[in-house]
Amino acid sequence: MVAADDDREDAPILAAIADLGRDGPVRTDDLARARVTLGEFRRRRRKVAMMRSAAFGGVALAAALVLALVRFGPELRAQIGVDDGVLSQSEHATTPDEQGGDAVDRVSATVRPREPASTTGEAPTVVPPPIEPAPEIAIVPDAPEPAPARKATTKPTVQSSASEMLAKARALTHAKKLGPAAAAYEALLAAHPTSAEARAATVSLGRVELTRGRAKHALRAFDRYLQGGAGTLAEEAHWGRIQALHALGRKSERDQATTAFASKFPGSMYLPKAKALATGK
Amino acid sequence: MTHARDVDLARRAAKGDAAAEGELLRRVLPPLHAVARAILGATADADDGVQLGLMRVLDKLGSYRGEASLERWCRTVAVRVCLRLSAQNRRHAHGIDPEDEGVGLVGDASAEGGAIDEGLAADIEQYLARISAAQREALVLHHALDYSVPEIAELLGVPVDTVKSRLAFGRRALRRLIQRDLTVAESPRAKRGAHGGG
Repeated sequence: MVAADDDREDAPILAAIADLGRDGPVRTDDLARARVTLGEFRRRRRKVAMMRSAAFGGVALAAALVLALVRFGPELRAQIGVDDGVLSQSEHATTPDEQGGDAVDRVSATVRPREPASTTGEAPTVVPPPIEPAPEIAIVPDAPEPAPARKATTKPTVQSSASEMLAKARALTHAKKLGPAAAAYEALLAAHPTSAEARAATVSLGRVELTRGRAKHALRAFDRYLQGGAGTLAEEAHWGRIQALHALGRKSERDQATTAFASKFPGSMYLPKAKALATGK
Repeated sequence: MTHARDVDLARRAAKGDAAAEGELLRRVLPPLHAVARAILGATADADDGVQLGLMRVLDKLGSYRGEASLERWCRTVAVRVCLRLSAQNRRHAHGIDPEDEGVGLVGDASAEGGAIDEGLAADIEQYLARISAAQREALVLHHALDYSVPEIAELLGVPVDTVKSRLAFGRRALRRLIQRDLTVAESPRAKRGAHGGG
């Protein structure tokens, strides 16, 4: 019984909620905004395709190099004389007898130790070092050189980092940390100026600045958004601009903006408020 | 039943056919707007929701198989996007009373003390904005977007009983808010009427 009463009582409420889910007509400016989004999507798709082909090219090149090494590696090693890590230099090798030196000389390479002068009392004579054969040098396979410190290769994609920055800025806004929020929006605009997130962030920045009482900064943000052409948030940007002009006391500009707003968005929920600002009520 | 024409349209649009893209936009925008507005309210978040929903629809066009109409499929995609956006907003605003969410933001009716002087249908979004986000989502998904209770449970990742409870408490909260406002709105009128009659 009680439930039935509740249902009857709630019927208008539930009907009103149901209305929210009904498709409304698509306005021309809605379509224009969607086309902007579509353009963004196309640009992003092209960029992803380019990045994919670059990555694929890199992988293919690396694979080809590995295959070439596997296939021709032994021949190459034979040609350059690398055998188990020892470079044989037979073409230069000479025996000690041929050189008239001894084994020590070969090891000492080019510098022959001097005779101590004091033992003979004679003037030291400079003995020109015999021409030494190039020593047989055991070549230890190259230890991997310490790789130069690389920068992080996990650079976030434009999309993810822009959304992250937007989420952070939005979080700060919701937490009412308006100064840091404004800085976060500015950072997003600077880092990803052409992203869809940056477009939305411009209006959000305007709102935050307006709430902080920095009408001049807010006006700049709204103007920036509107200069970018038709956007999803054009209605909000116009309304914000009117508020900013009002706060700055630029009444004639505010009234002009209100007239333009009324003709552009005659059904806007902000229009009565805009008109109220103009009439001072 | 498959929607072969819708599948064909989606494929052509995914390949960048301008005419197909135009038709796609005309068809998917109304459901996207309806979903975003229902879940996120008539705020700038809803516009973000439409944009992000459209992006996601375009991203996933290739996976559309025609098992439901294009509009219904878009609604499903948009619902998930908007719920995620709503949850993200809520997570970031944790610790803030739901009634205070968005305080100080331009265009927020609650912050500007918007008077309830129109019909219920016009104000329902304001009332919905004043109840908890979890209850609002359950009410909107069920009554506006026609999702069943089990479907909502799956979408939100909560038990069925939780959804039922949110629906019941949400309805009660809305009813109380509306009754309270009606009482406040009617008492001065009654006084004026009494003065006028005397």
